[in-house]
Amino acid sequence: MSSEIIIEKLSIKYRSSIVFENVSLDIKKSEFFVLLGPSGCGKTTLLNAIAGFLKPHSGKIYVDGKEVKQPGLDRCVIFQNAESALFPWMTVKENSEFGLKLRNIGSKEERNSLIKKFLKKTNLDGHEAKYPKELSGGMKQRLQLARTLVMNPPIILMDEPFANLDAQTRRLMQLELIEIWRETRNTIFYITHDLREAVILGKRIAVMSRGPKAVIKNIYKLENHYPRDLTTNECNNLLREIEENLIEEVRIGENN
Amino acid sequence: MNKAVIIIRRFFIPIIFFFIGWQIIGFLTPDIFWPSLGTFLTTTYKTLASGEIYRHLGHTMARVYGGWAIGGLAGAFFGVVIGESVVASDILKPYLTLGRFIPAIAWIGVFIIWFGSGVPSILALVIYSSTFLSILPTLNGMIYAGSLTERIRSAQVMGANRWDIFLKIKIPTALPQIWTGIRTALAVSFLQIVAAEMLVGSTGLGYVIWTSRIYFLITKMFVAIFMLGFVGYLSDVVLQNIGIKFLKKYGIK
Repeated sequence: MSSEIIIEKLSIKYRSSIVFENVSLDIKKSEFFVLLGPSGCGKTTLLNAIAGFLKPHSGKIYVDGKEVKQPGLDRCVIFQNAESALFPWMTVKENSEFGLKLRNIGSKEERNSLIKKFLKKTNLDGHEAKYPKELSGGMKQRLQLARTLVMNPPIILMDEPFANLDAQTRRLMQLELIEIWRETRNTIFYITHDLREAVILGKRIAVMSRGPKAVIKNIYKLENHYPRDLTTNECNNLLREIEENLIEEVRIGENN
Repeated sequence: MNKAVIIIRRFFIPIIFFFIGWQIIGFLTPDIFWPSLGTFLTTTYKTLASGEIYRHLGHTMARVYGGWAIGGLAGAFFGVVIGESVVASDILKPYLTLGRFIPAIAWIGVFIIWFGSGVPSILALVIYSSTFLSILPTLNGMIYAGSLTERIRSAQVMGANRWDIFLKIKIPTALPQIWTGIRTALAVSFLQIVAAEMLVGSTGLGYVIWTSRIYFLITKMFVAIFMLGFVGYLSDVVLQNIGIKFLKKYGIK
């Protein structure tokens, strides 16, 4: 299941200052869309607006033609800090079952088999009875992912989910995420400040500028297939091009 | 560490120190102020064997547990309500802040006029103090639970409405602090009961301590004092273990 997201001239103010204005984006069904930008440029604010946590100052967001006004079951979010997003008093299985139980989806057996399937997919099988505090950082993020996938949301919004992980675990998680996405084909809106991660994951990469009024400057499209090899000419050229673009953005931001 | 060593260190050594310390002070002070170890042990034995003290103990405990159960639960309830509702918080918080600076015992005169000089006044005091004691930790727990934006939002995107978030996310998150409030309220109930029984009681350990003073029954006073400490300690251990057994997954240690 997947949906498209259309963002039209969106502006968001925080108190009296403008975070960004006139941002327009068009995210296609089943697309892996990455939003890249320096820290503090407003990426998370945009994600929160799509999730329905924030009200825009002006402009509109549509999911499958329907305007976003509040959080909805069609848009699940995976947060950067799994520690605070998971429910520490619930086991891995109970965490995964939370949304299904809340919405009364399926019989107990159906729920169990669904959870089993996605815990296996996220390499968490065998850990069902553990509590979040007993899991490593990577496993906690896998649990957030499993908990989201069992709900089969058309859109998954991911807020730098691997930023707190060590380099090796991050690489492994990126590969796993791509594998899962290729199978499930949910629309993914993924934000990161890590350029290499953006090129490894994204079908399209939008670069957000930094400054008092951030805008989306360029959108890059990647043609080659997954899993991506960053040493190919296409990836290399793209990395260089985006990097120059980003450095310029950081400079502008610092001078402002 | 070896289990026997732990038992020796935690139980036997403190008891031996207690007896040695007791005897040293007993040597240095007249019997009327501090009985010798022999007098203390025989009087303790006689007091415990006579059975009279247990009636007082029973009355004190019934008042402590009764008042604490009502007050602790009421405090937890008000703490949750105030923590959840901004309006209730705005209206009630000034009273809470003010109330914190009024010692519970200051109300005993008022309670005597309202409820008479007896058990109802003692109960009112215990209920009052344990309510106050458990409101604040509960309130802090609820405020903390409300500050965990990501936890609340992650429940929201899975379909949780306000009631679900309150019941299934905020209360479990605040539970360790609610429990701390309830436990502290029990300890404070023990403090209040003695003062209340001294002033308005006709039974109870507080009453025993207060009336023994008139006849210089220093040993009997010690027995009642230690009995309170012992039962209080035991109650806290039992409560702590109940918490660990049933609420461990919520982070109660």
